[in-house]
Amino acid sequence: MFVNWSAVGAYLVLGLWPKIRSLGAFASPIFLFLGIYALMPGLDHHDPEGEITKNGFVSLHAVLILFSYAGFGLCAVASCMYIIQERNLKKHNISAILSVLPPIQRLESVAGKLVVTSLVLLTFGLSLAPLLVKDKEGLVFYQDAKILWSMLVWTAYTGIVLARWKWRFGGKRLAWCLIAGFVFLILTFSGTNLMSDLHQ
Amino acid sequence: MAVVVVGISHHSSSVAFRERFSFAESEIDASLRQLTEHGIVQESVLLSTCNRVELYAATRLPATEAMHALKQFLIENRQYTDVVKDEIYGFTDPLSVEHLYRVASGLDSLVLGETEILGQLKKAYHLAKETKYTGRQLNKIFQKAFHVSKHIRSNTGIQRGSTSVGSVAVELADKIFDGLKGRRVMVIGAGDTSEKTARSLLSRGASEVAVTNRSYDRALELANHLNGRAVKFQEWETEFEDLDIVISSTSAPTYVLDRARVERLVRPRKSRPLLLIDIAVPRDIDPEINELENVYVYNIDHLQSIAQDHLSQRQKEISSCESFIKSKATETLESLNPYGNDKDGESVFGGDRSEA
Repeated sequence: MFVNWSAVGAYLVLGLWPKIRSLGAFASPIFLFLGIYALMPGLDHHDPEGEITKNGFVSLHAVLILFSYAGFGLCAVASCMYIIQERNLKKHNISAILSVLPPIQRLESVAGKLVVTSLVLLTFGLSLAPLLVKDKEGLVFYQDAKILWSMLVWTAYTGIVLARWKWRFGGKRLAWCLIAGFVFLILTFSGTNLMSDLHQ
Repeated sequence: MAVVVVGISHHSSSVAFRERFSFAESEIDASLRQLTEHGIVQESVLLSTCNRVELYAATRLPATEAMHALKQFLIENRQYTDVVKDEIYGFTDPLSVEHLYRVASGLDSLVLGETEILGQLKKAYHLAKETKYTGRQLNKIFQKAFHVSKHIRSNTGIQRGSTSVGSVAVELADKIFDGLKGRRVMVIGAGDTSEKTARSLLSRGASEVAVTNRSYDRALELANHLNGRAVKFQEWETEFEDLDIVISSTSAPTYVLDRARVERLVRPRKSRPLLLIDIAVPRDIDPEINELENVYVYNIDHLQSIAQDHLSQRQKEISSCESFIKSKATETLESLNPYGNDKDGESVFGGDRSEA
């Protein structure tokens, strides 16, 4: 639910820029999906002791990472819009001209900026992890599914950002990569949580 | 007082006929004065554009008599000696008022929904108003015409989409690039349509235009017109990496841009989009180029079909505009003559153009 609220918040900030306000039309179904998904029983663990909120670093770690996921979600939304608009333009579809979708170059630029911002948040969030596990005796990081998964996600998005910076990676391929990245993230997020003792 | 209109337009006459009846701005004052002094009209506005010459008047004479006098005035004032058939039309109110509202809203224009006519109408009205040829009747009717036009343009789709090749190209560029400011355009082949298209792009902020043509002198000439620069035909490929939009209109019998060549040329551009507009027949740009990533090819058929589609969408809006115009015209006339104005209006000459 926090990811959902973060995405809504991020969209509201982006919505201050009228030229990409139409992002909302595409983001709304995702917000709805995440909202329904969050209602599934057993996803949230009961924390009567308030362990998570007691430790400020744990909260910051979780908040930064969840914010970054919300950002990756909006990247995927902008990328979907890019794919639709690009397809219309390629097919000489009249609706491309009449549509309210922003130009593809702007959508690419928005997705590119969002992925960098989200990666920065993810990096800060993950960099707090060693501070949180220093007291955990016998923890082997490569045996924890969530840590391995987080490293995979971080590496994948870092790869995209580096490719964009180094080789001007963009266009349809960038859009598909960002969609695939978020789909993978959202489909495996809960499963890896369940597989991780550390994140139970 | 009756409100009448007498005029000619692209609907009723050829350009040669309209040329004979057009008024220079400097002639309008004298013409309106003459009309008033002869007692034909009490108030008048003369609109003269390339597509129409129309005299709007409020008169105390019987409407039919006034209209015949206005028609005669136009013929004599322009010293037209040939036979006039149906080229000159005339309406009494409420048709005259409805016609004015239709003209102001672009419903009577050659390009349905165009906006230029509104500016021309405002100018004609202000010219007459400043020289005190308008009074209560025409002031009210013209002010209302501007309001009706604004309402129709903002609340219906009569102005939606572009209807010329140049403006469709601009619209396409707007869907690809994040603003046209700073975009670099190249024109290959110095034709009229490519010049107009380049002008449309420049007017929307494109920063630079380069012109290349087999005849360098012709390229230089067009480049000067567009405040751009000429590039020798053998050297245009060197510019390709930095271009955003290419407009091609050569008379070459084969493709000027084939897939292999463009594939090679776009490689250093990475993922920067490129819009290729082919307005040549036979085509200059291999349609297979459209399959390349980040390259968008539009030929003259694509552009015209988009323009046509926009036009059809505008035409669908006509009936709702017409009913709004009718109600507003009745409302205006009722406010000017609250004690009854139950006339149907008539088309006195020029055929029945009430639905035009």
